[in-house]
Amino acid sequence: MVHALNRAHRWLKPPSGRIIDLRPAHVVAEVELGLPDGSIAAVGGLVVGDERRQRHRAADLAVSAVVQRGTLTVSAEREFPFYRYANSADELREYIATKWQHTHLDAATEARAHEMMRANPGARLWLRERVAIRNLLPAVAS
Amino acid sequence: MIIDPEGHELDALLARLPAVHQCSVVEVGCGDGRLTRRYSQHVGSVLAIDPGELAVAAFRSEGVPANVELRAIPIDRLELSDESVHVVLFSWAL
Repeated sequence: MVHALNRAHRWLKPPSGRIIDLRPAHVVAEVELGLPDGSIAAVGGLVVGDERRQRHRAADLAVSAVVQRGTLTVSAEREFPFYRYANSADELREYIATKWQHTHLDAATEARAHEMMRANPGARLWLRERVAIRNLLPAVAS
Repeated sequence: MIIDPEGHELDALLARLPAVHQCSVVEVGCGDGRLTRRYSQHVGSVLAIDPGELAVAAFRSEGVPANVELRAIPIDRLELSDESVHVVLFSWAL
């Protein structure tokens, strides 16, 4: 990852060229239910494998490394919620199974989502992630 | 699935693009083009890459915007001139 950041750094056109780093801020995404009265009920978190956790940590370390070496500086960093809405727990499970590696919706959480949706007609099921975005700007030599 | 209908991701990305005419973007990890399609109309050109042949095929099958060049290639095999692009976007890819 450090290698990729260094390559990208070389490609940047001065004076305003930049890397934009967009990725989850937290490794676990949350399944939630929006209830008709406007409240939000927690259903459960996705099950995340070690490989995904290690990759998440490695990305943070790579950014830290290029910053510590004085190659890039971090700016305009913020987090935002990122929602994926599903019509059913089945749809959510299939989406995660198809699109995500090393992460799954476990049977207990899926069953809880089914039950909560059945008990709350009109509720909306979603997956919420905290996503981070930041600019990585070439550091100016002093 | 309905993904980010609030547009939080797009808003955050657009706010971080440099204010340059015809901004050129290299997007690393474009996948099936979900995000590329949303922001490409706001920039001059996009070179969208992804190491996954299947993801790139899925992107291509849905149509590639006119200002987007799509390649199935990992970043370590991408050859570009130094100081040639305004933005390298790591799109859920680091």
